[in-house]
Amino acid sequence: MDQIIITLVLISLGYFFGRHAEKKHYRHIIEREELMNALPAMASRFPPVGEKFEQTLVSGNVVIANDYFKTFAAGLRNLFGGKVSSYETLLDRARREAVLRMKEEAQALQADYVFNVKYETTSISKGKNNRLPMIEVFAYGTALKKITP
Amino acid sequence: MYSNPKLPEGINTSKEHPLKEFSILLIGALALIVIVTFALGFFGSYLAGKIPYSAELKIASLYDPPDNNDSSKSEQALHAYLQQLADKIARAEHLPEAMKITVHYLDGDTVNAFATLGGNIILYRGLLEKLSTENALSMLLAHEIAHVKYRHPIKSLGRGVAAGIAIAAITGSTHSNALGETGLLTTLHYSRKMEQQSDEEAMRVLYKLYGHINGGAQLFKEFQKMREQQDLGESPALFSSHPLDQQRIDNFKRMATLNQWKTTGELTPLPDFFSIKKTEE
Amino acid sequence: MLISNMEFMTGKKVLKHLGLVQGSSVRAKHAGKDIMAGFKNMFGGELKAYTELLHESREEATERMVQQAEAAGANAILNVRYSTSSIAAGAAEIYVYGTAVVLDNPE
Repeated sequence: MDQIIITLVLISLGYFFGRHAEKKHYRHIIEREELMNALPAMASRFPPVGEKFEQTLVSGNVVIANDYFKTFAAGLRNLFGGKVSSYETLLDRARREAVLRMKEEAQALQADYVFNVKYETTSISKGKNNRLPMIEVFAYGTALKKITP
Repeated sequence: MYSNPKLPEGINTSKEHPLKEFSILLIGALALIVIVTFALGFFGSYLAGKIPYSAELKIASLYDPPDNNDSSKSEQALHAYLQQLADKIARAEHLPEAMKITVHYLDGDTVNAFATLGGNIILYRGLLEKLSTENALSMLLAHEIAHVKYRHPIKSLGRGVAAGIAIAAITGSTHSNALGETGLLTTLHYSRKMEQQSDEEAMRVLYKLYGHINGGAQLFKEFQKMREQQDLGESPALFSSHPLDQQRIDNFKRMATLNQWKTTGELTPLPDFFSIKKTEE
Repeated sequence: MLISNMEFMTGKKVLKHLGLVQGSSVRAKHAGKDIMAGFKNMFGGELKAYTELLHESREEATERMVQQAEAAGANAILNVRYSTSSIAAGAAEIYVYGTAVVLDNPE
């Protein structure tokens, strides 16, 4: 009985705090994305032709954890199968945050573009019982800065 | 030529409210747990019924019999009388040779009596006090002996163990004791079907022993009276394992008419030491 | 929407590069299929249930990436890459991303 009460408390705390944190994070991401759109990131490997660039590897990473409510919901979903919507926002946020950090690094170098962007996703706590899942997203690419002759 | 336009939100995420999905999943999971527990419980009960009686005796021997050690002379006489009556009823119910009924009399106010593993029947003073005829006492003993005859204690234990394992498997709790707090003093939980089966067997024996079934219904009436006094009210029929007292009385009458058993007849009084016990109060 | 994992579409000129577009999908198979897959693991062979799960998931992720590209005003996605990662026990994520571009004659 005690365990049920503790779980319920954790779920509701997770729901309220997790939702609040998520909304805040999204606001923050959207705000920065608007600024960073001036620095385009491409998945293409070949830089614009006819120009010379200075190339630097840039990267950004973020480790993000799911709240208790979402983990519980995902556990239930595992019983029935199907789309695990509680992880979607988590991954979406992590990926955008990682790209933003990569772009911020490129911006500090006064780059004009980031090319050949690649992502790497790892679950850090996978398989361990009683541990909330933690996900790392790592984004990396080549920052290109025009060389003015 | 190179630009990053603003992309709309909500493409890579679901729009459904998380609480809605959560509640659907939770209800589904609870339903699954209930179904699995019941199915496994049923299976466990079926399998336990196949356990030979000798194995059941071994399980029962793990627990100490709950006897009063310092029983007085009158208590010893009472105990002998109860044992003798139980043996008579056991013969009438055609119990197999191996099934030995052991009656345990407990000096407690609890208005209860029950049968557990290994043919042990526990009777509390609280209930015996309320019975005014031997017919009622025989009905009670015959009911409990019928539980033993139909292997209800081991079946109910098997159901409990299987359901316990199911719950432990689903919730993933590791420190659950599958056998639970099973002891000889624990009232095993019998299903309503088991109770009805035992009631019917008890009535058959009552008729066989006395030639009529008068006085048998007193047992149910006492239970009903007690519950009214306690003002607990009867729990809804669905959740109660004992068929509701009124239902048992009705069933008693129905069985009597169905089998054309005489409902009137001379009542056999209880021996004297029964009344001694009562005046001591 | 043209999708390719090459740098360019042969015979077509890229007019505009619109940056990264991405789609993702996380899915789990129900416990029953998880258990069956566990049995299958002992003897080897294809795990049909999981093949199907990842296939469905990949289709959804691609669909989401296409939606993003359409919203950006692109008519093709080049240099597409897929990545798969297992997020929690029994749940897998498919992630797909590429560069949204505008081609001169998409037909």
